Amino acid sequence: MWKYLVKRILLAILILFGVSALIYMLSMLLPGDYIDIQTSAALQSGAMTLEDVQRLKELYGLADKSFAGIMKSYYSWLLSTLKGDLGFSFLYGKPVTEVLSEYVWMSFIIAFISYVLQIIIAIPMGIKAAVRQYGIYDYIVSVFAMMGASLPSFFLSALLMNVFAIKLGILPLQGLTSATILFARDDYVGIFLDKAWHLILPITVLTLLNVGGTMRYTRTNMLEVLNSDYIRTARAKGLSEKTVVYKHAFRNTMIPLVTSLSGMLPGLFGGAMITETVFALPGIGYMAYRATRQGDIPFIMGYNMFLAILTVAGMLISDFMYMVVDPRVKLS
Amino acid sequence: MKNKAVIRTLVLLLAFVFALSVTGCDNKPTQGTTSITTAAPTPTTQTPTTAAPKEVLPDVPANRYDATKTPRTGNNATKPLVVSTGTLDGKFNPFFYTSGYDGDVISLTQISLLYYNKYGAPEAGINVPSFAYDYKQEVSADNSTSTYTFILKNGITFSDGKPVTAKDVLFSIYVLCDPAYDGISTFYTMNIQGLKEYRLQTSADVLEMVDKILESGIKTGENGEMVINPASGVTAEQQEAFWKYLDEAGENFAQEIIDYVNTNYVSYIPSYFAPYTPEQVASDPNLQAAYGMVMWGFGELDEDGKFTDSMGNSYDLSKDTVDAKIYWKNILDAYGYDLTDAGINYEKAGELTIQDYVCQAYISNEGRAAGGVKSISGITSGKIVCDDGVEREYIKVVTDGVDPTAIFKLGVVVAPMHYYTDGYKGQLNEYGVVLDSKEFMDFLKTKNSKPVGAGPYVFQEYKDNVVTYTANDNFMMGSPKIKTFRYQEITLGAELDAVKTGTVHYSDPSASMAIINDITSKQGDYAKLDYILVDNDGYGYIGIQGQAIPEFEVRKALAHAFNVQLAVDDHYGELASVNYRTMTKVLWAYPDNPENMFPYDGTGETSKALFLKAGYVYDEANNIMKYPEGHEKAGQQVTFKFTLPSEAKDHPAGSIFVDAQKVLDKIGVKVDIEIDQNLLSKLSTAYESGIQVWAAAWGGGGVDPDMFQVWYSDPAVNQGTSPARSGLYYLYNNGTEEEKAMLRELNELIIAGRSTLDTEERKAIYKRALELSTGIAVEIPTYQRKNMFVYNAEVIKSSTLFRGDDVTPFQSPISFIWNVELN
Repeated sequence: MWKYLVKRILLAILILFGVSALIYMLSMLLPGDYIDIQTSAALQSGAMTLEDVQRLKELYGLADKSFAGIMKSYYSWLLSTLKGDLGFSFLYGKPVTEVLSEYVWMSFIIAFISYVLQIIIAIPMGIKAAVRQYGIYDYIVSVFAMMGASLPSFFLSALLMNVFAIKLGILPLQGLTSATILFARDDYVGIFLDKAWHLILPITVLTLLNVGGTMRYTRTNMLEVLNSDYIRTARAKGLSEKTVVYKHAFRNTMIPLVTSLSGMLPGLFGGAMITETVFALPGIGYMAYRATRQGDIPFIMGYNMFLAILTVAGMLISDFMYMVVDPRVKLS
Repeated sequence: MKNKAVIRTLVLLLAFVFALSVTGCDNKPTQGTTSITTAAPTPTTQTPTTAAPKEVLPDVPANRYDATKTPRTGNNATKPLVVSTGTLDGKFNPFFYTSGYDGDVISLTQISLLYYNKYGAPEAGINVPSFAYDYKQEVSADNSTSTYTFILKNGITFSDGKPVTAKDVLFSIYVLCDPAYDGISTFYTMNIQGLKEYRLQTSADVLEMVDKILESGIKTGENGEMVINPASGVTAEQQEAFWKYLDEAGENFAQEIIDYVNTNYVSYIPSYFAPYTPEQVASDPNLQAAYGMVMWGFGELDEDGKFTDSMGNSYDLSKDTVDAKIYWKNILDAYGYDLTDAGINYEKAGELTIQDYVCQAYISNEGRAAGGVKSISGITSGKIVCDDGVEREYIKVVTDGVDPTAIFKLGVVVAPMHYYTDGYKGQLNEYGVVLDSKEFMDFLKTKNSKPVGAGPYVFQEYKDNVVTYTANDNFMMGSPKIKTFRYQEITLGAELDAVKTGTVHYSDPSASMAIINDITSKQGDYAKLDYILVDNDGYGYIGIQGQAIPEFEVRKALAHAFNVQLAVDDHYGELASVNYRTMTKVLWAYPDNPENMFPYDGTGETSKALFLKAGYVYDEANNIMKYPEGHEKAGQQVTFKFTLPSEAKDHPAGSIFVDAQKVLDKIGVKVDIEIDQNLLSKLSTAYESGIQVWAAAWGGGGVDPDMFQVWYSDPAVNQGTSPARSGLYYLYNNGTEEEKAMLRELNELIIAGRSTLDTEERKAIYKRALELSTGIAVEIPTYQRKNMFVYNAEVIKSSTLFRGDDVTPFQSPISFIWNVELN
């Protein structure tokens, strides 16, 4: 197994190299770089000349867009990254690592809570729907789950905001805190409750959006297991339906479920771009979206490499988990 | 606060209003008796010592509120005022911020050398929030130099209690002027004496020598070699030393063309550089160079992908090298060594000519001044005894020539040198900077997360998308009435809901009659809201393309068929007014109540008379207006195409077009109204794209009324694209004598308007210029729209906000935030 792990890790490093080179190349070749975007108005109004723009590009290391030039700047990026320095974000004016660590936790908390809720809601619903296949419950749950999964997040967010924040006024419209209230610095409970109150809608949106998929996945797997021979045997043994479903069937449903859930690791840290934007939450997804639009290469690289590492790690964990939950699997 | 953001940027970057005359500082009502007696300040060492300096008192308003003596009460002490903002970058540094919203966050913590008032005009004085106590502008008799003198206030402190001095002003200026400065300020583009020498670290002598060498130039010898022309005032050795950089510079020049082509013309690769694909070109420098040459006419590509340059050499692009060196050889082959030749300079991709490149290469290699240039000679400081007997510091800036926009760049933010350099390990020069040091600039950026200055508020933190400040009780204009101020980030489009739901107290939603009606109805959540309207910096217009419709009388005939009042009546209602000149009404140069140059005639008779005057033929029996003889469509019915970017019912000019269609139909002229969503992108090539008449709007163009870019119609002087889209370049060369005379006069007026700092003189110049620009009938102004601010009147004390005429694009209701109170 160790040999397998080492092999996989070495492969992962190779993948990360490839990914970084590819993203770097693509980012550098995006039409209209950071300086072009920042200076276009000044250029049009005549406040800046092309010479000024060129000077800025040189200062930012964006002047040479030839293949050799890109490779040169990629090499220097790689060297400093290997030393742990992800560079200085053009857009946010801070070290990339600082921006990442500042914003990633907000996204993680929302994603994690909605992830837990999603499991708590979707798995029992999926099991119940599978047990009562083609029954009323199955149809109702499936229809609602599909509706949740098919709604665009901005639409669902706007809908919930309109009802609960604007019409009923029982939940806040946007943001993470009530700026209109001055909390005492040590009023930790008050601050915590205020934040929790602000997170109700975004977490609801994320949960509603994802519950359908997990529910369908659980239901499908459960159905497959319920049709297996050993379930028939269990029933034939005279075990109660509860024991059959929750002890014998469900444990086997867990195998694909656990592996698929560990694959969600990058999603936990990657941020929910649209939801964060609509609710004006300080999350990493929205920060990354803006950085990409503005051609902030150090941040684009830092963020994507962070995600790439998580993806590779998620895949590794997924394989590992497979072995843990299914004794028949041997990694080799 | 998007409006504020735009305004601030405009004010800081571009504009000019109300240049004060030499006696200007005496006339300001805020100034009292503080005029300066000396024509130009002189250092204290040279100041006559007849008047002994008085005791130094802070230069602050007499009745300023001091919260340390009279503490705040009620909500002002306990509740925050929350204002919405767009998404912040968190780059809160006066030197390096890039978004307007970040600029707003910083500005609450800073003061500037000058204050720009509600007209965008610069002001200084005890009763305005400027660090300058007074200022003046003087132009030398021969217009060769302009001198700006800023007298600085005494006794002003930063929020940390340290005094604000001339050193801080100089520090701020030297950061902006540093060659390694990489922020968005364009302060360094000013013609300040000695600035170029400082940035290039060269001497005026070297620059003068370079000028002489360039003036005499070089030429092509009999055998095609470079021959240096004889020059006076410089030696042959100096010339040789200079010109030996020609090839290096030429390659840089060619490389810039290659880069330009490969940045801007990627989409043309399939058409002009097949069989290669954009991806192949992007990854191969050989292909990039070849493509750069093909697009500039220095080579051709055959169907098999074989490249032949303009000298006849063939290259297999898969193995032969094509680069800037080869490109430069081709340029030389085509034009020879005469660098003043229009041909060689026509090839340039950017602003820089080939001479500029040689200059750069020479100075960076050999032209550096011995011992370096330590300061900018045109910026000096010292002390002066003012009219009131009090000694104050001053900063003097001397620029070459006359530039009415300079005063807007000179009002820099005064950042505290002690804070921004605190913790720097290296050696700083006397201005608190390290010349041309990226490391020093990077150090300044470590202060990006917290701005410190002498503004009304002290930055506390930026957390969870909320910026929190507390009042700076030392603020020169008085302690802010509200103790805590906050900016809350709000998603674009949710501004109104944010105020309605109590998330924020003040915001600026996109203006609409629906909001006004809701607020005035006082129902439900709207009961607590109030609104304030402000003119938008920009205006709507109908374009009549001068090349597509070259007959002056016909353009006028169309203009008389446009009922511009309909944009207000049918679309904006209270949110707009009609505009009769090609300038936004918010600018000070906009004339008082100008008359409509093309009064609407709904009967069509005025238009008909003009068509007939232009030689068009009216067939009364069939009600058809026909093109005149000699016209390519002679005998056919006159037909025009009006283009809108959206459905007529949705566009402010839609009903004007529909109405004009009916009016012109009465005189037998046919109008087709076409919807083209891509209209805006086609306007730069309006004539080629077949656009004749269209409706669009101009955004703000800055505080200065300069009309050069859009209206200067001589293509040999103006390189802008706007006169091409309106057809002015065409009319300048091909119009009737009347049109040409109008355009010549307009050009002269535009130049005259740029050559004086006298506001009244400029106002008169622009009054006439606007009559000409509107009268030439290529752009018929239609409406002036308004923007809106919405606030919670239960929370904010309405009487403490600016209202009515006091609110302009340059002054929002909460511009004097220190005076705003909560209920």
